[in-house]
Amino acid sequence: MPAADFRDYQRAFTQHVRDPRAHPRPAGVPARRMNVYNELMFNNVRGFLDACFPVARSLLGEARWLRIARRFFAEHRCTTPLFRQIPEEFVRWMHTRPASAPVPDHLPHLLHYEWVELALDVMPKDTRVAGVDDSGDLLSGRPVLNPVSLLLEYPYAVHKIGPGFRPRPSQRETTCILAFRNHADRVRFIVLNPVSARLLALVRDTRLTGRGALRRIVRELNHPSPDVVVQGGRQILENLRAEEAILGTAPARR
Amino acid sequence: MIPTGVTGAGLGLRRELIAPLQAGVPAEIAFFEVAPENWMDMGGASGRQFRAFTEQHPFTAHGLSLSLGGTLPLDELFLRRVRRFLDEHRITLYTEHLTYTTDDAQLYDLMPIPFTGDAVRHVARRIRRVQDILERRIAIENASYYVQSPIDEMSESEFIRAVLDEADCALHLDVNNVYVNSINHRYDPKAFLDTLPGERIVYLHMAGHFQEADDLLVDTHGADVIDPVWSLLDYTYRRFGTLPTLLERDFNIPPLAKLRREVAKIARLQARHASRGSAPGTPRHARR
Repeated sequence: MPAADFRDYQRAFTQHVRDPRAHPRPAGVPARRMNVYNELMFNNVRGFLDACFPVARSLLGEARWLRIARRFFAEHRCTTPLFRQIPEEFVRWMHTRPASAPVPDHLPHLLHYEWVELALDVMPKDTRVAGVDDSGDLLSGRPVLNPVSLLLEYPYAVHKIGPGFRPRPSQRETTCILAFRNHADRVRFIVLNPVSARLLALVRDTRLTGRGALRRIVRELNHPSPDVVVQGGRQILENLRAEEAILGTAPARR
Repeated sequence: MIPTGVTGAGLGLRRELIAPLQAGVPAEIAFFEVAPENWMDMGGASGRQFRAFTEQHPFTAHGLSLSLGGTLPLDELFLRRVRRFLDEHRITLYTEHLTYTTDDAQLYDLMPIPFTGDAVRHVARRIRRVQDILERRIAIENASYYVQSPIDEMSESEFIRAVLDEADCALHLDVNNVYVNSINHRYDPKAFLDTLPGERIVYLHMAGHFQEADDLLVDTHGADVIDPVWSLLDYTYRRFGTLPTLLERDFNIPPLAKLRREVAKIARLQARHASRGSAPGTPRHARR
């Protein structure tokens, strides 16, 4: 055989591994041996997906789940060298992939919701923030959101999806969820009403005090009784502090 | 040849093993090994538990995704993160597979490099670059493989030696892989070991495999070590000295009590060889 380029061989090898039906195996390689790679390589990636997305997998059923995972493996180009980020690549692919293989409209959102748990579980940040007064007054002080948290908005009630609830597009329902890791390293999910979600967004994105954030909400809503909003807001913040979603207040002095 | 920071018998650290090991690390486990890809930038409970282990025990690092034989440019950003990881956990030895895991992106598992002269130069260039960035010499591991490339220009052992010489790096010898390959590609495993440059070997792996057919073994790390591999380890010690040796177990992970028996068996074999003093060159073990 003339000196063949190892790069060409590797290209043929990997093209076949990614999509054995679309690309022939390299010339001179026996099918049974090549098949070891086809299975090992796909099953390795698939294992990371299975572990992260148990709900989506069970709802789709094994055959359909496998078809989707196969497509992902064939079409998507993962760049991260870290295995635990494969699910994140899968979610991104699912949100941007061509519509050629239809999936339920809610599926990309469900996958994201399932991924959030893994992401927060290993997020390399500390749930404790130096200088926070954990018993500070949440109205006069500036509430501090747990840094290991994600404020999420989905077009479906993703937390209710299961065998008994597979929402159709007509059942879209904007759903806000705060996901966070508490000090005991447990990932928690809290479903938020729109006012709570807005309040947490202000806590996260501005330097307002609790009262300042609630007053802004009063203005935004043009609410007739500001005190009701402020007292309701205080209760919301206290409840979130009890859950360790809010850590306390930032030092007043700046 | 290069410092490893470890001696004796070790165990691959898996998340599943953290809880039982927290209750007490058996005395026969002298060190642990991790894949940087699994533990770098890990937060939460797992990250904290891992740090507690690296503070108390010697570790080695065994990479998975670097793709030394790949044609995609080396991920130097990732390599710098590996370096930070090694520094952070005071790990001396970094090893990677003599394989590739990429096409124009990641494929996350090990594929065999064709044994050609061109590939030798390509891989050696990349290893030298890795050694520059990590500021240490690394060890490369002989991989198990299931497909003999039809464009090979040399044997597996010639390929390994050529890469080692051209990159001036160390060899991480996986004893189970030698056995797996000897069945899959029909050669004598001891004769294969005889051809290796012993002075470059710094570290050994032991593992179990899956027998798919009489002539096809798959390196799954999911079963106990079998007797022929134990006797190959005995032969390796006789030939190359009692090098630090790690037990890998990645699937069907049994209780720690069972794993420790295999680690203890490695340690006993090492003790027997050390007392015999039969090694041609006793390895020097660097202290941390």
